[in-house]
Formats: sequence, C-alpha cells, structure tokens
Amino acid sequence: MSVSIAIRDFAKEFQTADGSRLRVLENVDLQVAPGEFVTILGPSGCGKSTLLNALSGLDTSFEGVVEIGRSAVGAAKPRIAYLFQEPRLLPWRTVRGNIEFALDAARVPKSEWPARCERWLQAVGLASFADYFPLQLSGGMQQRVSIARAFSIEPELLLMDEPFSALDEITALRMRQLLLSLWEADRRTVLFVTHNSLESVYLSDRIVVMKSGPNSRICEEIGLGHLRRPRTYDDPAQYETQRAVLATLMRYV
Amino acid sequence: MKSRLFVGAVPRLASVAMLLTIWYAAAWLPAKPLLPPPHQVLIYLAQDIQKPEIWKHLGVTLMRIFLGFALSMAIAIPFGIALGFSAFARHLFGSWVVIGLMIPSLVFIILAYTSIGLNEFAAVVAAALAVVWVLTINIWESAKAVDVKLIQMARGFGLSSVRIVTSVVLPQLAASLMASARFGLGLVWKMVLFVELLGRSNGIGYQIEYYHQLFDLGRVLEYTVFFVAIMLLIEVVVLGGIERRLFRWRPAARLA
Repeated sequence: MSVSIAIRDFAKEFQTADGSRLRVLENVDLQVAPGEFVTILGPSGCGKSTLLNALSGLDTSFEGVVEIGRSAVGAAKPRIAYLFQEPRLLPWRTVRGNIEFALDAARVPKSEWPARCERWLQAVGLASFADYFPLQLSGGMQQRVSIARAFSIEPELLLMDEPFSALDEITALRMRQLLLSLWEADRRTVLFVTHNSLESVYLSDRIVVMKSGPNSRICEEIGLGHLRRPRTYDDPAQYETQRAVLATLMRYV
Repeated sequence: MKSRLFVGAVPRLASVAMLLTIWYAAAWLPAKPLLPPPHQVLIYLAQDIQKPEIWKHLGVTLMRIFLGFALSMAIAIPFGIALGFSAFARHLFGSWVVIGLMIPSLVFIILAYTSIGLNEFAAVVAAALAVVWVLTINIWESAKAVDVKLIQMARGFGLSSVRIVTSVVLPQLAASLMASARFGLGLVWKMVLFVELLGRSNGIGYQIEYYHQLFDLGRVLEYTVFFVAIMLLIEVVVLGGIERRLFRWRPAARLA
C-alpha cells in the first residue's frame, strides 16, 4: 500500500549565527500520487533535505501544511523509510541486526523478522553477509544494506536524500538499477532528492526543479510519462530528456 | 601468517634484548653502577613471591586502586554525560571541572589526609579526587561526539526517544566509556602509590618508599617490576578481554 503526499504553502526559516532569520524555502506546493516516483532536482543548498525532514517528522517547526494521506480516514500513522546520503548503519550491530533494528522501530512483529531479513538481503545480493559488521563491508555494500533496511519495513513512503551521490559512478549506476527493480515490484510512493539530472531522468515519473536558495521554491515540473519502463541506460529518448532537464536546471542555479 | 609472525617476533625480541643490554650497561659501569643488574632484581623477586608479605602489600594496594577507581568513575560518568548533553550542567559545573584539573594532585592528597584523617577512607578519596577531573573531561568529550546522524536515522524509522537512548546513544558511549575506564585505571594506580607513600604504612607504594629510605635500589626495582607486571596482566587480560568482547564490530579491535 502506498500513500499520497500533499504539501501546501510550505515555508521554512532558520536562525543564523548572528541572530537574523534566513528563509530557505517559501511557497512550496507539491502533490504526489500514491505509487508515484517523484524527484526533487535542485542545486546544493536549495532546501531539498529540509522538505524531506518535514515529511519524515524529523522537523516540525515549519510553516504551511504537510499531509501524508491514505484513502481511509483515521488510519494509523503511515510507515516511512528514510534513506540518507550515508548508509547510517549502527556499526555495533551486524547487517541482520541493523535490519532488525528498523523492523523493531517500525513495530513489525518479531515472528516476521527472519523472513524479512532473508528476503531483502537476498534482494540486494547480500544474503551471505548477514552476520558481518558494517565496517567490514565496502561503502557500496553498506548502502545496499541501508536500502534493504528501508525496504524491509515495507514502507508506504520512501524518502531518499541523495542516497547514491557519495558512491563511485559504476556503483551508483548499479544501485539505481537495483532501486528501480525493487521499486517496480510493488510501486511504493517515493520522494527522491538529488542534484544529478541523469539520475532524476533515469529514475522518476516526474521531476520538480527547485531554484538555488535562499527563498528557494519549486520553479518547474517536468513529466516523464513518455519514457518507457523498465528504464535502461542506453535509451536515446532519455538522453534527449536529460539534456532538456539539465538546461532547465541551469536556468535556476 | 607464518611470515607475519616472523616479522612481528624479530623486532619484539630485539626490543627486549636492547632493553636488557642498556640495563646491564648501566649496572656494570666501571666507575659507579647506576642500577643493580636485572638478574639481581629477578632473584629478589623470585625469593619474595614465595613469602606472603609482598602479596599482602599487593592486596591492599589493589583494593585501594579498585575503590578509588570505582569512586572516580561513579562520579565522572554521570557528570561527564550531563556536561556533554546539557547546557545548564555546563554552565553550572563546567568551570569546576576545569579548575579541578588545574589543582595539583598533591594538594588533594594532603587535603584528604588532613581533613579526613590518616585512614583507608582518606586514601581512597584522595586517589579518586586526584583523577576524577580528567576522567570527567574525558567522558564529557565522548558525550559530545555522539553521532547525531544515527539518532536522526532512528527517529526517521519511528523509534521512541527512550529506545533511542538505550539502543543508539548508550552503545556509542560504551566505546568511549571503556576507553575512559582504561585510561582512568592507569591514572588511579599511579596515584595510589603516591597516596600510600604520603600517608599509609603498607602497600606497594609504602614498600617502595621504605626501600628508598634504605637506599636499596634492588628492592625498589623489585617491587616496581612486580607491580607493573600485575597491572599489565589486569590491563591486558581483564580490560582488554572485556573490550574485545564488547567491540567485536570494530575491525581494529578484531586485529588486536
């Protein structure tokens, strides 16, 4: 099951070191349909992560309305998984222990833990590394563990904050393929943040472009309905689209 | 593996040989020997460890170390954590800790003996007072270094605040608390010898001072070697063992 997102009139201010207030985001409106993969594309420092923090509940001091909704009224709090730029694994727990940590936090019954660990570690190709500690794995493997951790709680909403930008190019290409293959299996709602136009075109159904901050907001929306799924890296239509997206992005830097 | 052992073993043997050479050279200086030769010290030691006396002195010293260490950790852990996490505690106690750190240990020992009396309790308090400040700062620093990103991650997955403390904050502190404990023990045992020298009539520190009065350098070294060997054993076997068990996840700890 997936959820929709509605953000209306969102604004966020930060207190700077000298006491003045810095308005990083304003007039942000964004609707995301259930099961849609939407990418927020913008230069560094435009407040993309700020938006994700508000959605995840990490930040509650903002102006405007943020709704994560199910069709059923009064349903329980939606299950959200958050993927960060770094793997953010607990180094003192094994790979399996890290996935169990998320399952525990998401209140998944203990009886389901072994099957879920097995399934998602298999899905990211790390089934034989369940008893390793994170520091014994490479950076790419650690990020795969964090993807398995995110999917293992079967989230209704996946928030991803530049999860592949710290990886080398080949690893990042593979991880995007992996992400899409996992996502296409049951289409959870995804809000993906990046500054990489290639990535945004390859992955998403729709791109929203933000201008550089402060006073950042969404400037343009680009639908990618014309690109077939499953996506491949050598689709010429994608290259054309990426050139257009990059040109749009450059206008707002 | 064999060649690594060889590479490791050769410099280690060489280091022992060099140490012994220097010691013998100092012992056999023609004009005026600086030290008794190592075998003399070992002969003393071999004789004395068969008698109960040296073990009795060791026992009282270890008891003082243990109590002083426990007392200083019991104070330093809550204060260090409070200082790391609360601005209020920092304003209230931050300067105390810095001032405490500046006061010479000798002053604390004299203060404890004169105000409490020349007894066991004063000895333990003196040892604890001498080291508690630097231990508190140590724990304060490690509380500051707790990784906020992991806390964010846990909150992102919906973990409750209480569970975040128990499963994300405390395990991170455990690593540095363990390091502080080893560091603290090293400080306390040096301080206890000092405390014994100044105001007790038994213990390793007292014995070393006693033989110093008699200018019996051989016995001074005998007690020193004996005590260092015991403390090394405690440090490596007990604390090292705990640390290896607790921190299997750290690659460096696994290699050690």
